[in-house]
Amino acid sequence: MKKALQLALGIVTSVGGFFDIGNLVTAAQAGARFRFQLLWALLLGTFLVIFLVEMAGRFAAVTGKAIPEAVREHLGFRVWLGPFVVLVLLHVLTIAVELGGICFALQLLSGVHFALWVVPVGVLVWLMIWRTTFDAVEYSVAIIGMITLAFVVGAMRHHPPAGEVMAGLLPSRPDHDTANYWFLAVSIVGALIAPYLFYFYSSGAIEDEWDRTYVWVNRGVAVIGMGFGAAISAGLLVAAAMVFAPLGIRVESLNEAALVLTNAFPFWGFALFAVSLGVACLGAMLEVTLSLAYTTAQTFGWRWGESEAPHRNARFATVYTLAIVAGCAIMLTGLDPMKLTMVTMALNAAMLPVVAIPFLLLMNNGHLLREHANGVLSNVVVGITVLLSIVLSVVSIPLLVVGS
Amino acid sequence: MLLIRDLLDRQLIDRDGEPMGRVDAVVLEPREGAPPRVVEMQLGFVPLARRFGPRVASWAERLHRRWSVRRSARYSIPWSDVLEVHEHHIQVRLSAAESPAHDWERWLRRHVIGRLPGSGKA
Amino acid sequence: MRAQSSRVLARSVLVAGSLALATSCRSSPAQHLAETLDEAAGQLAVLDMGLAAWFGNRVPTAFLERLADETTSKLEQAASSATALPSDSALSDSARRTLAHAATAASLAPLVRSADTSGIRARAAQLSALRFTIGALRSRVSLEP
Repeated sequence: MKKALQLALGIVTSVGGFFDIGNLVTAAQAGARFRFQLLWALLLGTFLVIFLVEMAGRFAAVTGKAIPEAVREHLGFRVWLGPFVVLVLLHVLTIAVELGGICFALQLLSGVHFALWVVPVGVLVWLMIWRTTFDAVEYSVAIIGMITLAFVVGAMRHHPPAGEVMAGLLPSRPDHDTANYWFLAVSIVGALIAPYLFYFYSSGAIEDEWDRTYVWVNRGVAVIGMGFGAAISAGLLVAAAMVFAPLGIRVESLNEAALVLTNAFPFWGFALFAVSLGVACLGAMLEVTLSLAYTTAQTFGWRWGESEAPHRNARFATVYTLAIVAGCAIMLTGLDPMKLTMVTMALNAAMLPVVAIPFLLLMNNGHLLREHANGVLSNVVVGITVLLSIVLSVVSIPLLVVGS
Repeated sequence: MLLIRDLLDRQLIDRDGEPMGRVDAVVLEPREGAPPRVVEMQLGFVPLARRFGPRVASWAERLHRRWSVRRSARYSIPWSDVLEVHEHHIQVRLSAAESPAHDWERWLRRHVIGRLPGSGKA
Repeated sequence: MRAQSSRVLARSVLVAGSLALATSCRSSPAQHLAETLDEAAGQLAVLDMGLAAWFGNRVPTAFLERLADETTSKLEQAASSATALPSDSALSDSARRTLAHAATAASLAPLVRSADTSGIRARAAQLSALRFTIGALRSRVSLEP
């Protein structure tokens, strides 16, 4: 019974907590500029994240270790240092853009300028981590995160042509803006495989005290949760395709994106977009901040645990406090949140080999995982993932320069 | 058969079950006609930096002298203080709260975290 | 491990350099004009959509103001980008003038702030007409290599 509850909660958390500003921006631009042609990139990214998340969860459940702990212990600090530095940078950038998303949503709803929200929201997020328990954070945000399903409903209300949508699930060549097409494909994948997702998931499994018997719950959460979560991105992509593409609107700013639901939901469309953006980014910001703190604490062997009083966990608390301060500082420099988001997504893709390969190596460690080590199928997928990640890595930065 | 691999980068747990950091360096004593003996384990930014080479180590030493709240650049735990080497961690008979391993924890608690409202200080 | 990453980096830089070179070489004046007009058409469509939503009470006034400001600055950019085109063609001249008009018409913020609804309606009609003109200009741009 408890496992069924964990499965349900895990799915809700994944659906509600999966969507963030990276998914929103990449899906909206892809739909607006290329209609359904980039759905295959969404599908590809979803497969990748399901496998990565399933492996991270299985590893945590079986060994009781989260990824950073495991990599430092079994591969050594010299191997871990590079990935660790990269993770810190990516996490801080992501915290900044998610914060940007929350502030932009508040600007949409209140009319009050974006920059004025940065510090109050930063303090609010900090308070949420400072004062509440892990469960409260995870579940409350996940449940209100379900509002992002509005994108799926909105897409359906436009009656998209099923044949064309299906055709989009297979890769096709664009008839215009080739560089931008491939850049968006890479960014969509980058938004889906954001490192904080599977790193947070692995620490979350430990916080939730999963053990060997949770391997099947883990599988369920990974497949159904991530799958449904990706469906929300697909919904937004389809909605953008139906609303923006026919008009030649390229969604070059968040203000443009904000119009996506105003036809499907005449009265509530604007508010639904703003609330969805705000809540999704709030959930993501909490996860990324915690993920950074967990990763740092585990790397250096400190006590870690969100539910502990900060007084007992001073170093852990200092890390997440500094992370939020850094995020606020970046957003206060006046950088455009949408542009910074696209850069961050491209960097996620570029750095995937660095943050994933050490962990993937451990999945074969029979000594650690015994009968739960990767079978042949999983290893084939791992091999493909590694190759794909290297390809993504090599092309993403040039595409960022040329294609955006 | 105990190997460096089983000690380096391992989690240390103190006598009360508190995490006490990770083993950043291991000091061995070579012996004639026998495998080397473990003298002590070291914790600290400087021993960790030394693993990347002597130049990185001296840079770390300079940083430590300028900025660190620690009294010493390295905290040495003699092998005799080890209670048991488990599969995933090493249990020692010391108390983290009283040891230099928690220098930064105590400093941050006093000067930063403890000063913020609602930190849970009794 | 380090040698491998520097090789990957070198390769990325090479690819980036060649791609950048390739794209910059390929952008002809006609292509540039087409892109500028497409961009402007998109912006006018956004503002049109925003205005329709505002008239239907589906979006707040503050949002319309910000949207109009954004659109205006993008149209101004497009207009100044068009001045970089060679000035011998009548098409380019028309494009330049139309884009400049569009930028002016799009600056709705003062009207929005003074709640001049009829003034805004007039502008909306103007913007629709300009959209049509830009569409016509765009179809006249031939993109033969």
